[in-house]
Amino acid sequence: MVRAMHSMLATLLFWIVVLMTVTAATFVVVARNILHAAFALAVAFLGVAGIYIFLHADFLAAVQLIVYVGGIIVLVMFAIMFSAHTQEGTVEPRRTWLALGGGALVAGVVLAATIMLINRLQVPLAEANAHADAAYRTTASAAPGEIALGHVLLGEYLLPFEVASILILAALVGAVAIVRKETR
Amino acid sequence: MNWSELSELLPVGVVLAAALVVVFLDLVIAHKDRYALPMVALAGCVLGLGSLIQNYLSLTTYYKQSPPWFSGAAETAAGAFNPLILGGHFSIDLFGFAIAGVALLAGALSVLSSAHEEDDSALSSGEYYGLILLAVAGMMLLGFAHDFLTLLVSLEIMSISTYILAGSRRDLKSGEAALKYLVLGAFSTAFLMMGIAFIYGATGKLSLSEVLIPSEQLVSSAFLIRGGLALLLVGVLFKVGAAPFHFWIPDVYEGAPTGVTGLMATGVKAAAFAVLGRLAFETFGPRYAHDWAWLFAAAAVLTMAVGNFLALRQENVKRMLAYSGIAHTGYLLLGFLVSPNADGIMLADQLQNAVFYLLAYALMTLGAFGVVGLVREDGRRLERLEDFAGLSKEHPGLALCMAMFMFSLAGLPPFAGFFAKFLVFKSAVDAGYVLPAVLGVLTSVASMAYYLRVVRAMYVDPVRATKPGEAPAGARCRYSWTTNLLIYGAGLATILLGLFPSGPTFLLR
Amino acid sequence: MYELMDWPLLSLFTFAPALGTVVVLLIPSRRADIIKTVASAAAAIPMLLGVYVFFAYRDTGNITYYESHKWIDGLNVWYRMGIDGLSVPMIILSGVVGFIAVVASWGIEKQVKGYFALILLLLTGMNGVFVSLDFFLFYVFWELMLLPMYFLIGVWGGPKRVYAAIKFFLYTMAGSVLMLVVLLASWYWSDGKYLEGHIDRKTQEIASLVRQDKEGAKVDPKEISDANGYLAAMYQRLNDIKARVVETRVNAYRDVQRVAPLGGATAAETRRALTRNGIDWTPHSDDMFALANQVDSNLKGLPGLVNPNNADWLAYERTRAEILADINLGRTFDLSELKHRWPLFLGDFQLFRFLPPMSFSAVMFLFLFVAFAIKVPVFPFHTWLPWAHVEAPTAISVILAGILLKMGVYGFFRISYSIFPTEAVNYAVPFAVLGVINILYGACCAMAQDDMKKLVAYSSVSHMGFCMLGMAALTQWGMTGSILQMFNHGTSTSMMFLLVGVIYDRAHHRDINKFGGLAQRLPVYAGFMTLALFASMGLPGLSGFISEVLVFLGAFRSDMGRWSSPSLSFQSLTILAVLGVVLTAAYLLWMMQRVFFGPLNEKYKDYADMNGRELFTLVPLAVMVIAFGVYPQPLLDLTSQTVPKLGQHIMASRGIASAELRSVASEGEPDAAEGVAAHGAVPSAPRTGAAPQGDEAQLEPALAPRAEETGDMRAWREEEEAVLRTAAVEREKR
Repeated sequence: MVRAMHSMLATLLFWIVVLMTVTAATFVVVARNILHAAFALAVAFLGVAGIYIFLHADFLAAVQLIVYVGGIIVLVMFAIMFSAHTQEGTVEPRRTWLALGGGALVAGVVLAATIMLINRLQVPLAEANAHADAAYRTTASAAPGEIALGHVLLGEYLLPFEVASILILAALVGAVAIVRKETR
Repeated sequence: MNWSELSELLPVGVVLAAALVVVFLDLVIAHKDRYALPMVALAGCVLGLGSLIQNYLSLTTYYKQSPPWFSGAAETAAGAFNPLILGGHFSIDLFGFAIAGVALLAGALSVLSSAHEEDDSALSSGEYYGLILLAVAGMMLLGFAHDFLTLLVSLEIMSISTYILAGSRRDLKSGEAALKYLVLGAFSTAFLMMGIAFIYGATGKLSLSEVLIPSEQLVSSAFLIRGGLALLLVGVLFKVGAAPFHFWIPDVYEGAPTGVTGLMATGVKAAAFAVLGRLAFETFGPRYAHDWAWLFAAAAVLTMAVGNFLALRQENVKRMLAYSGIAHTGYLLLGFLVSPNADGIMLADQLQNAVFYLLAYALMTLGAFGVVGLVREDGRRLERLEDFAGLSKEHPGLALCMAMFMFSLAGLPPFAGFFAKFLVFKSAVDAGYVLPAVLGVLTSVASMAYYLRVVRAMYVDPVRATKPGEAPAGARCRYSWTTNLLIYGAGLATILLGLFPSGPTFLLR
Repeated sequence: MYELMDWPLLSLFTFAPALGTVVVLLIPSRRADIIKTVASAAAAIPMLLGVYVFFAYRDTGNITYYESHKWIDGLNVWYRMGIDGLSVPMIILSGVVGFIAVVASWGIEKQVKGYFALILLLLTGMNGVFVSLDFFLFYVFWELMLLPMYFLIGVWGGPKRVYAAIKFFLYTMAGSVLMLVVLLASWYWSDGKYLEGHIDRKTQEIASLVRQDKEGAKVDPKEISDANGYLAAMYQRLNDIKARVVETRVNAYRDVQRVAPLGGATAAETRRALTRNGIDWTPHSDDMFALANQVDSNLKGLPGLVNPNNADWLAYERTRAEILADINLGRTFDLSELKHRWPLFLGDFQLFRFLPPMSFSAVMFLFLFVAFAIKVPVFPFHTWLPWAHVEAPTAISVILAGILLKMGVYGFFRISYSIFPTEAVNYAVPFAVLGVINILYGACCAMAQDDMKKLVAYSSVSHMGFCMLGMAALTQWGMTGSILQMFNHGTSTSMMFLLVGVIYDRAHHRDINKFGGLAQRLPVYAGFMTLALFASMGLPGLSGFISEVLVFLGAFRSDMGRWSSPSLSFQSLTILAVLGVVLTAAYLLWMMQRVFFGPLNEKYKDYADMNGRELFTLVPLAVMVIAFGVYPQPLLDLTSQTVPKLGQHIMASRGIASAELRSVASEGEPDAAEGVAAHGAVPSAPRTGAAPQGDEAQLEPALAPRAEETGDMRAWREEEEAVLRTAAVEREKR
């Protein structure tokens, strides 16, 4: 009984978090004020961290909190505050019915294509979910802790990890390029 | 992991080193000689190419045979060439070499076509050339990448560099291009990442050639894999600019500085096709061809139709070339259709044809963008069709090359474009897709109409007066020996490749 | 002649102008005189070679001056050039008219460098079309010619040049695409795989027929036996194709052999070695397979050339294994191979739902027809021609009318008729009808013109109709006449365009009605014009006469339309075509009268007569027009063996075609084989016995049998003579 209660509560909580995340993400897109969008983004990041907890990926949740909510969002805020455009930060996007219709059409086509693709498989959804669940359990049971993660990252996948440093280099050079363009 | 194998990636290292040198050099030297930085960047590309060739030669002498076209084609017998290195993260095969070669060529040529932009300081800074080289390094890594993780990271190196390059001119259009490119590029990367996550979650594997090897798990989690692959494909089609994911291309190509546009149209496209090719030939292969090739075929037909018919209406040459680039993506997709009963020889043949197309397309497109970048008046860039009127009188050499590029893009013999199209159509027919190939031929005839408009503007149309009251004068070009070198070199190569299409394969022996 | 085999004569013929283009581009633009001299020199080389070939060539029906190099690996594309009786008249024409056009362009003043570079490139394209023996190469040259032409009309043309150039370009492009489809299809089908599938389907059909028969259903036994006969013919065809596929591979392997085990000997060196040792090395003789084997065995006899013990030999053996495994090497673009490769059958290919099913070959034949018909131009596809002719500068009009139009008919002969012989027979009557429409429609349009150039342009449409008619007749006389007509029209119409250009340079208009009495002031000009017009009209003693007579005679005795309605027989069509001659005379004489006679228009009384350069361009053509009018024998000799050979090739396919016809529509039509048998029943009188009358007697030497005539050729000739005799007997009965 208690376990069932617990399970029900967990499910309820999960849906609340999901709803919060999606709402916040939608708000990021539709917000007219850039500052509001940034706050919504922080909420969305928090929600994602919550989802990680539900997935038993505690370490990832922690990383999400520290890096995204703690680091990135603060950076974004700083950037917005420091740039002088906060006041006229509201944007008026041009929305024509044609563009909306075209976008909806394309989205519909892509969605239909994806559904068609998946349907070609003819796997009942419940069964698929069960499989996904099983897959998760095997991964989770084999899932190493953060220590093992560190070993994998700096062992087997060291090379991609290192290549990622080039990525950061590119981003850095790019940042310099942008800044220099502004100052000159 | 055998770290000594890292030497196989030396060409990438050379290019990266050149990138750093260029960035630092900008701080040291005075801005007297505007050719200093581009020349260093160019040297980086040339050295990278030399190192690539050196790698190829030493591999060939060591194994007494040339590398296989892709890792799946390697014989598994002992002593045979095993292209997988560094724990399977990279595959040193001919496809990778070819993509890296095209990337270096595109990088070198876009450096050449940017070297004259001294009026715009952002375009002559060390960061600009450094970013070009970084992008090239990303493309080369992408050519060799053989697992999803390396692939994603390489893709991002290339993408982030190009986002900033697209916005490196100081005007609104360039900014718009950069923003659009950034948003849509990030969007497509998200798709790609999501797909990879699904696939990894389902199989626990990241290697391109292993994820779909039939197994118990593959059957049990087919649903996730399907979904993951669908997302992955959407991301890749986005990157190559295939319809219906082509919307970003015209605006981005038009707004970006012309040298960068050339790089995006050729190098970035070649690298994106490297991903697509690896997916089609290694991940899916003949085993899953039945499930996926029709999707490529449908995308190819749609892309050819959309690109060609929208190009007909363009008045801006750069925009027209952007739509023509979309159309060429469609033709290229035809080269990646795999027949369910293809064998290794046939797949290698198809890859070879596709690579020939990428090479020919890179040459003619970079040449064409080179000419577009030169046409200007009082320092203003001119890109409209009518601005090209009378180019044949003022600059007969440039006009001749431009005409050759146009005819080659349209696929007229004896230019490289004809054989390129011929070969991919042959690939498609060999794989059993006759109808897409026939549609390809038809749309390619229709494409003649808009390419001919450029030729007509240059040679036939009357010239106009620039200002009322002045005598009419033909279009004027800036002089830049680097861009001229690029244009004439590409023109010569377009003809030579057309006359001796087996030349590149001959060189491989 | 054979000692010149090592010379790449035809490559020189083709690429000398292209070399000229490069040189012209290197000369600074201000030195217009040097540019013109260089261009003329470059154009003179093909002319000299053409004249040399005219004197040196002896027609044997085989390909000579053959050049063959591997061009594109993997696709089995070869650089093959060679000439036979079909191409020799064309290369003479192309050489001479090309040179004259370049000389006639000396008056050009706008962008001289570009003009001469392009016209030389144009010459390369045209010359290449006439000498290439590889379909792919043919296509490349065909397209190569298109680009310079677009610019030459579009930049240097008259007031409506842009429209004319685009129209020309689009029409030709449309044709080229259809040709490209045939090119690809013929390559894919040249390995016989498609025929295998067809035979499988047919076998199953027959099996089901036999089953129905056994189960008691009423099946016409003739149907089964017909189908069996058809199947047997198909099997024979398939075996033939398979043997040829092997042979193509053998050729590829011989190429390897030449390079590797022969110690790196080049093809030319090998050839010389062979010649020294008295081994015949004439590629593309009739039985190539036997020849290949013979050469191979002879090669082994040469000391030190092939050594099975050396490492090269092993390498070559391995390469040979690879070659035999490569599917693409069984396919070919070689025209003289394709002519034996195309699966000859009437299949069940449905192009559109509302059309009756056609054979795949027929669909391809029709595609090719459109491609060439646009060039000729045949009636519904001709609308680009008046525009292009009128807007183009004089020299370009000369090239257009003198050479380009011939490429269409040449393409029919070289490609359509040799690859699709069955369809050549089946579509003979529609072709002839189109030819007659061309003759009459072109003549009527010409009569309505006030613009001299437009009149000459429409007269070209009319005259190319004669070529179509003679070609469609498929008789030796008809086809010879058609080729001759191409040549003669080339010379006479070039003269006319040059002459129109001369008067336009002086008057700056071409309105026929505004001239008058020019003969009084410009006697030399009038003389040349009269000569050209008379030659075009077909006056005896001038060149046009002999070719038109041959066309009419060949068409009149053609038996191609026998199974269709009698009103469309070649006899009635020929009579209609003769009307065209009357119309031609009418519009040409009327023009002459309006321009040269009558009261002199005072505006033109100060005009100078022709200058030296104009005379220089016109005199050679005038000499040719008169010489070949008086003594056409040298021209007839050029094709005396090739045309019968082509005819025999086409007739050989009739057996299979009629077998299918019989099984499809068993209406008891006499098929070719039966026809031959029937004619054979007529006691074969000695040649002198069937003494032809009138004009035919005069032509007899051209048709005299030769010592080297093969058995099949003789059979075809005899069949034709038998038809003629039957006709004579029937005439006598009446």
